[in-house]
Parts: sequence; structure tokens; C-alpha cells
Amino acid sequence: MFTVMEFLENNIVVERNRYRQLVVIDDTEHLQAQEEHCDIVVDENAQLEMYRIQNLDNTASLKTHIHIHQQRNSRVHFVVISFNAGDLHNHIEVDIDGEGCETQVYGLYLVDKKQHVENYLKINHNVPHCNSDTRFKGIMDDEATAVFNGHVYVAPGAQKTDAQQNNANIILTSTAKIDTKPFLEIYADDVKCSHGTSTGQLDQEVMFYMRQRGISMANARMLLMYAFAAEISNHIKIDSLHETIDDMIKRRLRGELSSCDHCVLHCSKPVGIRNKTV
Amino acid sequence: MLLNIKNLHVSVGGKEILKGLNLGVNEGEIHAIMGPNGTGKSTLAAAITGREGYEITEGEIWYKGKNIVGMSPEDRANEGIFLSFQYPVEIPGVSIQNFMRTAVNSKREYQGLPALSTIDFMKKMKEKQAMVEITEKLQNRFVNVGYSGGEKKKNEIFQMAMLEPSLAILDETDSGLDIDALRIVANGVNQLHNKDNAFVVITHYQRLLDYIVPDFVHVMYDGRIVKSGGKHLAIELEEKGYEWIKEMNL
Repeated sequence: MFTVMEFLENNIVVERNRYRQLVVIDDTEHLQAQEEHCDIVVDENAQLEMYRIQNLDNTASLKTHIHIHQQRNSRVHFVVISFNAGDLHNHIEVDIDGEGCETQVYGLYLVDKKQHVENYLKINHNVPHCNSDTRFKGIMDDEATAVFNGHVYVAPGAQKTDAQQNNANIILTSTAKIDTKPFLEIYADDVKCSHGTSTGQLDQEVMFYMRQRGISMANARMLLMYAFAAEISNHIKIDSLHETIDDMIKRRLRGELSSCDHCVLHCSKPVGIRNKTV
Repeated sequence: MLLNIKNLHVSVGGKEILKGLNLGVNEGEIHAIMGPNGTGKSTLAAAITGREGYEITEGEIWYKGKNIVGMSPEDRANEGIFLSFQYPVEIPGVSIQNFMRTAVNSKREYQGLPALSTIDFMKKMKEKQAMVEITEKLQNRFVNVGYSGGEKKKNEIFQMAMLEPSLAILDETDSGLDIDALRIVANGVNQLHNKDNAFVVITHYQRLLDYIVPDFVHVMYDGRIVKSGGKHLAIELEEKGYEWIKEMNL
């Protein structure tokens, strides 16, 4: 067994008034450990739509650090979907430095076996009149563990900030664990901020309702888990990618996806590029 | 006999709720079950449909010649038992269309039939929605999410029409309905009723029985059926009140 360690650094600028889509796919065919830093500037009136699809070998380790700087009237729409994690750490920090910005960060992690995923999220509202919406959802099976650490910072004077943050988890076994810490740090008084977290098992009332309609327990679970996950994947605005990811979620929930030893993207290849930015 | 319940004892959390209930229902019949709160009417529905947490400590439930105690809720449903829930649950993220397609095709698979084509399914859905005056807008909404009380109950009857059960149990379907919704729901039930199926209507009030006319009325008290009769029993009960039953059983 050989080990490959990669260290990547990327600097990306979305220029003024431009609209860019970025799809990043992490898989680990040969990689065992990787650490990556990415600095992104979204200039005035620019829009960045970014998707990150992560499907790692169960023994792989990946640490990503993404720092986004938003200028006036810019928009960021970022969706990160983690199918298999190995040992995965995503650090996402957004500095909102200009007024009139919108920031949306959505995440979904579907982990089983002994996989571990950590999402660290920091949204810095440094100026007034900006909106941010961050939602992360997870389904945890077997002995998988996850950490969600969300931090919304509202600077003094960043009035009229609207910041929403939520983390929801479904835990399928008694051995899977989630450590969730949503956190608001607010130094302005005219703001609308909320955070919430929910963790639970599949609702037994709903399960019975579905089974009373003749739907098997396995199918009822699938429908509920898919509905839960789709709330995040529906934020993928590229139709072909959305379709592929939807398909992968369904296969993942059926237990088919994790059985691919190396990389499921060999089957699907939504964009055909790995470990590179487009 | 379609349903034959013999000496049924059911406990919930160690507490005995049903204490030796007997009930026989033939094809083509409508039975009303009335009684004060807390006498075990909903427990009876839960026991027939196989809900977890309702422990059958004694007795038998025979349905279509099989003792169904121990059978899974989905198998009972696919054998033709349907429950219209007193409190229909919300299922965020699952559209009524997707939900019903899964349910209808689960039953067909159980019966060894091929899945319905999309066209046939949509046609059937449209037809049954019209029957209970549900607008087509509902079909892409999530199951029961944001529905009014009346819409939820109409949606139960719609699902019943889609699944064409042999035995339908209506658990307080009339509660929370205004007179128009009540009429629509009752009309749906009367259209579905035929010589091959049966209805067990659990209700607190005689009002619903003006619209769905029962062949038999049973009064439950303290976990048993204490009085049975024809449709006039419901009227007598309405006049004399449940105190009458309580006094009789002291």
C-alpha cells in the first residue's frame, strides 16, 4: 500500500459583474491524505455558484480550507455534498466585506461505517445589509461520527443583518454520534438572526403512517431519508449535476454507493474532472 | 366473515386498555363504534392495523380467514386493511403523488401485479381526487404539510379511494370537519362502499351517521363492547348521553 500526500493551494477571483460556476469533485482513487487551501474573492456585483462533491475511500483523509471574501452586492451559493467521508474536514469561512451581499452555504453528509466528517463554518458579517443562510444536514449510520461547528459573527455596526443557520441530523443507530454546535456572536442590535439544531431518529408516527399504506419499512425509511437529503440537493442549480447527485443519493441510501471500493464517479462522471477546479 | 375479533385484550405500556372485545364484520356491512373518550376505540383501530406498542395479551383477530396477530402493518395494509387516521401525520419532502404511487405499487407488487404506468396512475389519481373534491394543486404538495383540518381528512378518504381496501376503519374522521367537508367525506365513503367491502366507523357523535348510515352500532365502554344494536341505538345514545351507558355498567 502506498501513500500519496497532496497539498493544494488555489487562488480564485470572480471578477466584477461576472457570474461563475465552479464544480469541485473530491474522490480518492489513490490519495490517502490531502490538505487543501483555497482562497476565493468574489468582486463587486459578481456571483459565484460553487458545488463540491466529496466521495472518499473509507481510509482516506481530506482537509479542506476555503476562505471566501465577498465584495459589495456579490452573491455566493455554495453546496457541499459528502457521500463517503473517510476522515473529512471542511473548513469554510466567508468574510462579507461589502454591503448588499447574499451568502448561501448548504451541506449534506451521508456517512456510515466508521467514517468521520467535520464541518466548520464561519460567516463574518463585517458590514450592514447582508443576508446569509447556512443549512447543513446529515444522516449517520453504523458507527459514523460527525461534528458541525457553525459560527455566525455579526460585527458592531453590521445592522440589518439577516443570518439564518441550521443543522439537522438523522441518527440511524445508537452507535453513530453527532456533535453539533451552532453559535451566534452578535454585536449589532438591529439584526434578524436565528440558529437551530435538531437531531433524532426517523419519526415513528410517520413510519407507521407510511406502513399502514402498504409501504415496506425499508421503502418508508428510504423515502423519508431521501426527502430529508433532497432539501439540500435541491439547491443544486445545474440540472445535469442535480440529476446525477440525486441519483447518487438514492443509490447511497439503498446502500449501493458505499460498496464501490474506489470511486463511484467512475460510474457517473458528472463533469469528468477530479481534484481540479473548473 | 371478513373480520372476526375474539376476546381481544390489548395493553399499552403495561396498562390493559381492551379487556375482552368481540366484534364480527361481514362484507358489505357498515359498523359504527361509539363511546366516551378513553374507552379504547382508537386502541382497537391500532390493534387491527398492527401498530407497535399495542401488545395483544390475549385473543385473536381473524381477517379473511387468517389470524393476523403478529403480521406487519404493511402486510395487513396490502391485504386490504385501511385506517383513516384521526390525526393524519405530515411528511415533509414527500409529495402526495410520490407517496401514493409508492403505496399503490407496493400493494400491486404484493398481489403479484405489475406497477401502474405513469399515465394510468395519473388518471386514477385525478379521478379519485375529484371524488373528494381535492384540487389538483395538492398533488405536488408534501403529504399533509400545510393542509387544513378538512383537507387532511379529505386526503385520507382520497388515499382510501386509491387503495380500494376491503376493510376501512375511519377513526374520528368527522372530528374537526365543517358540515360541507363532512358531506364530501361521507359522500366519498358511500361511493366506495359496495357488497365486497366493509367499514368500521369510529365516532363520538351521531352527526356523521346521518350521512354514513350504519347497519350496526356498537357502544364501547371500559375496553369492551357493552351494547350493540341497529342505527337507532346511535340516536338513543345521542338523546340519553354516555352517562346512560356508564350507569348501566356500574
